[in-house]
Amino acid sequence: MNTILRMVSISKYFGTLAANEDVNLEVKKGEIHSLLGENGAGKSTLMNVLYGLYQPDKGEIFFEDKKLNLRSSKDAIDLGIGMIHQHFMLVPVHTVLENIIMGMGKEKGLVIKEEKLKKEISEIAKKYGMEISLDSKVGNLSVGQQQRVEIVKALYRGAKLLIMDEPTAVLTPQETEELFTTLKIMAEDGMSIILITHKLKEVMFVCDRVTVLRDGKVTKTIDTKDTNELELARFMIGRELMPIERKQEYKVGEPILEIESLSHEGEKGEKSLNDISLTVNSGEVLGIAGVDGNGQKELAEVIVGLMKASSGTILLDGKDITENTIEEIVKMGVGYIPEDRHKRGLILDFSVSENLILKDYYKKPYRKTLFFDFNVINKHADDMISKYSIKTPGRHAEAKKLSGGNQQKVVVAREIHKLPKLLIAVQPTRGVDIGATEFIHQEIIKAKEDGAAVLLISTELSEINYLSDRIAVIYKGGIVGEMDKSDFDENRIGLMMAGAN
Amino acid sequence: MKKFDIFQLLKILIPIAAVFLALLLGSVLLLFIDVNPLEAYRYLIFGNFTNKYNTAEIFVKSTPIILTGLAFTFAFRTGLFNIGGEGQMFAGAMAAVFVGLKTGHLSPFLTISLSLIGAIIAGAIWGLIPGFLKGIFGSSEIIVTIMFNYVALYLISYLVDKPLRESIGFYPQTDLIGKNAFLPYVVPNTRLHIGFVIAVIISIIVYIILWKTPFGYRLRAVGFNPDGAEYSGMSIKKSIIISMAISGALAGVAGFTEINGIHHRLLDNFSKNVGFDGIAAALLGSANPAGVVVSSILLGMLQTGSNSMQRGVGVPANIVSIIQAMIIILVLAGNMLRPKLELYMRRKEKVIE
Repeated sequence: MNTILRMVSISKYFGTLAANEDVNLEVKKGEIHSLLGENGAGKSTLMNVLYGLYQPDKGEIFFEDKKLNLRSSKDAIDLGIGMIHQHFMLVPVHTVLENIIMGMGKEKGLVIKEEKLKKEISEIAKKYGMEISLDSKVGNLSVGQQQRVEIVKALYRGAKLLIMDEPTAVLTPQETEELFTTLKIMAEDGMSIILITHKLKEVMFVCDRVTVLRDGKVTKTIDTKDTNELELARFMIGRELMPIERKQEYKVGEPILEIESLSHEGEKGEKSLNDISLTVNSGEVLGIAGVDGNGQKELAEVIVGLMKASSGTILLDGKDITENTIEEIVKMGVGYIPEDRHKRGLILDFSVSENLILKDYYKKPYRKTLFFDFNVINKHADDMISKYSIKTPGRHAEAKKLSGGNQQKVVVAREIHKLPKLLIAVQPTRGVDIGATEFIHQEIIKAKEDGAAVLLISTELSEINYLSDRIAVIYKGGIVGEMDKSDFDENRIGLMMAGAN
Repeated sequence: MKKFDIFQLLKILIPIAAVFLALLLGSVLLLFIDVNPLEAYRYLIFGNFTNKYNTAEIFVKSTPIILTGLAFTFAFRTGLFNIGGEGQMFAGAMAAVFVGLKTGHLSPFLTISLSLIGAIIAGAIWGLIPGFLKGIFGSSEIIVTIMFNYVALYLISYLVDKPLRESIGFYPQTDLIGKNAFLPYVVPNTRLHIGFVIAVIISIIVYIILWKTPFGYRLRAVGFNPDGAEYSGMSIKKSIIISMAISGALAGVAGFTEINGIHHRLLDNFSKNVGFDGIAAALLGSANPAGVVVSSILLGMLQTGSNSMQRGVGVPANIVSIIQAMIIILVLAGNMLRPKLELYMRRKEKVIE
């Protein structure tokens, strides 16, 4: 196989930060090549350099043995480099056809030659086993279908090298499998694909070779058949993954959270939660699996009082809290790690120490009469920073200056250290590197063993499987099934996540 | 640590650069009307300091600007745009005059305190109503406060025309408030009254409230990130209403210092634009109480200097309004550019290493 892309000692600096330093990447024709690394390892920067969005400070790119000098993404597209972003770049109110031809110049002139274009596009789609209906509005398609539109769009523009940024983050296991089938057909046909990911399983399953980045440098390029997940994890984080310590014996206690036929209606009257009944006991983790956007956020927000239930009851420790405000529920000792740390979990312009007292700012000992007691607040911050190993320039650094993983640690530290009765964790490790993920998982297990009832809501099946004692699956606002950890079966859960029971 | 200082310095350097650049641009205007800019600016800047009275005028002028500037700052720091400092000041003035007229015979301490309290309450109400509308119905506080400026303005016109018109009934103005309600002067033979001291003390109080108390923490949290504040159990509505009331109260105090300290009666069109000068001072002072005090003094200096410039070289005093407007535009532009400047400076550091 000959080489289609060579990136030679690429360096890219942002201020003093080296996002990429001396990075070499070689992709062969017809190869699925994984670019593996934690968040902030420099994957996106490298790909943005390749796609013409950033100019490298050093280094050269050779594509099909020609030296490239990309000035914009248009240059890249013209050469046959396609990129599919995590967030799709589609116009929801346009049809699939319109989205695919958009910006190609084919929509110019008086009449769009629809029939001819449709035929060409359908042929491409069929060739790689993708079914799309060209006349549907993109807004009505599922996420998996939208992704297919993006792929077809790239192929129709003559992409020879396709960059996919975390393509499986938004897919069900079945959709993921379909995607991988498509990718394999494409590779057999001579296309090259760069798969950006941090999921080791996917790398091993679908990729031929893998390049691992850590702190902006390449730590290893290796054939997947010569390596394994554990070894890749080591290249990625620079040390061994630690297995979570679990106490052998701990006891499941009283029910803490009891939800009885809970429903919630959105602003337009659509049912975002439909007749949900759940119980979480002290000392256990109930995992809620499901594809993003099936009512997970609403479930968490209704429980904590940020949204109002339209019917049903929520009992906390036997007390009815359905009508209580968030203020009251926070005071009752409910810890809540929200889905969106930027929007909900943190005040980004506040310092780390200020964020750590976000829910207790008015309480003693942080307050002396009318004023803050900064000695106590600072000491609390220092304790938390060392106990939860939060990497920060200092307690006075603004939260927005921290990396995603460390921001999340601030949230986790604040919510867990008070030993809540009930801990609601929504996507607790989204956008967080492996090291921090490991740490947060450990903390959740610890909270459980200390007697907290934990409601874990996550779209990552592996996380659900790893932490939960019981698993429920949510689909379109309803619980489609519940099972014990011992009955965990990825296939079955995957089907349930897509609505089958 | 040294690196840190440079970026802190940038915060101060931008307003200073804006002032100089605005003066530079203003000099082009002066050249158009055939005036030597250097001479004009000599009057503008040093004309004030020729005698004690004029020098004191700087602080007289800056007193209400400090207070309306603090009003804007307080709202701004809690995520609100209070453009109604002017109207809230008028409301405070109305209350101060009313109290001064009715209780002028009491002891100075008593009547002055009552005037101050009256002005605070009236200003707070004038801020509270837009705050309430924003908190409960989500109506834009910007629009409502602007409209409330006019309500207050025309209310004064009505009051001085009809119900509170002076007893001889000649001018549209009220009678003088009782002598005991006059604010004491701090420098003899000038108009500099104790209001300036009050304004500076209030700026310290504002700083303490916002940054040293749980109460201010909550208001700022709501300002920075309402969703995050709501998540942690704070009431956004309550915070908005309280912030606007406090902001209004601060501007109301400006009405008190203007009435009890300078005019000693209510008249149409008194202290016009002071509310908006306050916004300018707040922006120039990076919405920081100390910055507000310094920039208010600067604006006071420009405004008093403009008169001596008019006398000296015959330049219309209005040119200062143009310069003031340019300062604001340049400060805002500078703040937009600041992230880029910081990035550029960081990149340079890399090269030096």
